[in-house]
Amino acid sequence: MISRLVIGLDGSHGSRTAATFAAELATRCGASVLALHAVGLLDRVPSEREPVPSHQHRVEILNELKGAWSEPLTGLSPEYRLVDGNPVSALLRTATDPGDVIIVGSRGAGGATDLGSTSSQTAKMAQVPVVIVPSIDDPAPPERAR
Amino acid sequence: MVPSGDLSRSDRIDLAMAAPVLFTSMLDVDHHDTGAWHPERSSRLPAVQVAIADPAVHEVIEMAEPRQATIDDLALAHDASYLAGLEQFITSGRGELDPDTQTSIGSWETARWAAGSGLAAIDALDRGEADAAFVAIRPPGHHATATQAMGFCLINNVAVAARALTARGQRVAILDWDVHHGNGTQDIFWDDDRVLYASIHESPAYPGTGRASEVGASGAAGLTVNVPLPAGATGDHSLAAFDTIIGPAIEAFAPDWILVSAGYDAHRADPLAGLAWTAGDYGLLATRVRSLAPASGRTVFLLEGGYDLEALTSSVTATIAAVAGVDHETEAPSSGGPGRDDVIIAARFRARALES
Repeated sequence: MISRLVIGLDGSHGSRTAATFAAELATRCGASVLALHAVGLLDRVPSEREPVPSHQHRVEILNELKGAWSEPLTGLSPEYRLVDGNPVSALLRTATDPGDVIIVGSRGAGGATDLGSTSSQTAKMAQVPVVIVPSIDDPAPPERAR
Repeated sequence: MVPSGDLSRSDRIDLAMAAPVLFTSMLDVDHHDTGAWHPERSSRLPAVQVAIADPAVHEVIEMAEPRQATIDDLALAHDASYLAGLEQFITSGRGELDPDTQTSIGSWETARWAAGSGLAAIDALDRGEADAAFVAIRPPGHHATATQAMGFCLINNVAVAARALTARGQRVAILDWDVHHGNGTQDIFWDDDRVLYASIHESPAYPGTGRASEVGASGAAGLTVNVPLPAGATGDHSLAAFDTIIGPAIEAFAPDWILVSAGYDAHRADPLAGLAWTAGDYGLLATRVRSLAPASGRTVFLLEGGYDLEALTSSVTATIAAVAGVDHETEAPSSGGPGRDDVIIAARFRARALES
């Protein structure tokens, strides 16, 4: 039984597409939604700005996560969470319950190796089901969910 | 216990008594281009070069050549399939391994130089060329697991060096004072009873691991030691953590070698983290490491993070001066920030791990 959808969001087009899919799936199966953002080393060092203090930058990111990044999830009352780490490790450490399903967007950037692809690495290492949602505008063939 | 205080007073040793420090830099073979604005950038190695030009330490430096690690060397700490995939990813020109971790076409060769330089330092120390070594390398390594690059790290340099030592039957203590927890190193040695891994780091912070309750697998319980400190923590608490938790753990483990994952991003000027250390704190920590050295020529410092170039320079100079035992005026050690309770909590977890 699917009880919770764990979705990684970063404001990209791919993650918005994944959020749209997650909203529909959550509505159909009555699952709760946990929207997370992996806080990386560079989150604190925007390329065009001076580094910002730790607390301030987390507040700014959380506001983004609760706002524009998760707009397709409006109405589902998702739980929001910032998780330190890279996207793969953040998703794997968070989605550990038997009823969890990971939803992750795909940029279609996969090559002969899983390296560089959050979706491929997550699918390869996860202990729970993973749904990979290809970006609508992505010309690359969709990756298979498992 | 070594008393904390002003490094320039506590470590006045005549230069004639100074211990030579081997210095290996891969400055001339660094082709790892992460982009102009990336904090883990090529200008970090020249900043370390400035550190050894300081008159306080210049006379004690013994230069040594780096070498490139072989695939077999790297496979001591990484899965063969990961290494093959990493080489393919980099040499095919793809650039972003994750949102933090950029590569360029020269990154594979550079990463091999970084990992090999630690091995070259060990070889040189084996030959008796110095009493300790400082290895200036990039990209850093302690976030890289056996199968995953992350956090600016491609190859886990300190893990490769430690595995090379354990392969010849020696015991290794790794002290990681980078501000970020070395999740990759911890993961690689989680169940290895030949290696003690001890880390002082900021928490909560990237990569989200390193709780005091993480003490190692059942066969190696107590051989992982974590001391997470809150943002704003000053160096006095790191010294207390060393004196009450990490130092005794290293002494009890009785290693043949001490390897230091020497990141300098706990400095108060660093843009990527929130601890409030100074160059003087690094000097005092290095003094403590020196006091625990298993034998002459059995201590290697491998560069990890550190992204404010002036802080990197001053902190590396303080480290080398302390290791050599030479007088050096530097920033005063920091004190008075939060962190005391966190050290006490970490000590309790350490005690529980020893009881189990």
